[in-house]
Amino acid sequence: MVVLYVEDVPAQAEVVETFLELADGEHTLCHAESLKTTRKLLKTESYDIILLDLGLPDCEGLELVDEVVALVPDTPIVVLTGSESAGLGVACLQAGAQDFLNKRELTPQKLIESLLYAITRKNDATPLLGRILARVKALHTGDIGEIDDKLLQRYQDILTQPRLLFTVEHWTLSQALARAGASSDQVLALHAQCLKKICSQGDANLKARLLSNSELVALATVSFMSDTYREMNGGQ
Amino acid sequence: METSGLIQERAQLLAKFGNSPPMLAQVLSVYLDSWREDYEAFEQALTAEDLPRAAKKLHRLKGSVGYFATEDFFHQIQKIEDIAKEGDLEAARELRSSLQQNLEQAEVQLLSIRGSLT
Repeated sequence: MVVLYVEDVPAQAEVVETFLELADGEHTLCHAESLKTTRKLLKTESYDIILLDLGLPDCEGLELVDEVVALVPDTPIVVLTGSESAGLGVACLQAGAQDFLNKRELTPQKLIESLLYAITRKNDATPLLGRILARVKALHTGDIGEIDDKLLQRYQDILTQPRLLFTVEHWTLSQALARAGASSDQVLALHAQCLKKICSQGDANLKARLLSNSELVALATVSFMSDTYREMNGGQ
Repeated sequence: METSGLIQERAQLLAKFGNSPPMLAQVLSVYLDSWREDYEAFEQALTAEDLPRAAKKLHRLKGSVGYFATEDFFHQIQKIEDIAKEGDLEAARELRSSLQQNLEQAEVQLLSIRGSLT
């Protein structure tokens, strides 16, 4: 794996270089300390992935993500930052990055896993999404019954917000579906309907995010609902 | 301001760096050689009452020490960065000396850890 690491602080670059040396597999790390140098390198070299700090001397934040995405739209990007803001993480993903890592919690394993998953997501986006849709379609009758528009919208929101997975929002939605008497078949139909709607919007980055969470959202919803049904039936 | 609990335990740091004393020693050296320059840049910005620049310099320093710092120490620096971003010069100035003290104490701890690795 050939990694372009964009970071202007030597002490921090040293840590990441060390982590990559410790990780399994053969990895080559190239280093750029500014957007100007990054532009020059990307003109003549190709990389499997870009690891991007958000604070460079000549550009920073989401503007920096936009710049790099525009330079190499087909190259996966993982943002590595000292910020712990979940909102910033979501914004980076929406701007086109494949993942967002916090420096304080970084380990060699987390780093290499994130890089590899990001490459996989970016490379396999379209074919894998088609497979997911086909599999979900085969599992249900296509009828979402009496599930109302509000629940449909909430489900769609959860599907498109990967960082909200398995949180209170997801759990309360599952409770609402259970109270509405939804079956697992209807949840799968709801899932397929939401996926189709989202995919028709044609956002490649959103589709790539869906790959990592799509099946998990459906499984988690059904799982949370079964807990609620069990409680409703007195623990049986 | 408490000075204990600034830096992660030696065993924890070693585990993070593949249980390799030379590798941990190397990354510690790079940090120890550079943190004062980053802190002085923050001080200069604060003296010049340039809070956006002070916040940026502190963010840089936080990112570097963050690989070795405890969660509490990291969040202490984050708090001052947030105060600088919010434009509260007085509050930032009040917290500057405790930050310097803690960074110096962290340096002592990291020097001790590095010394034990060779």
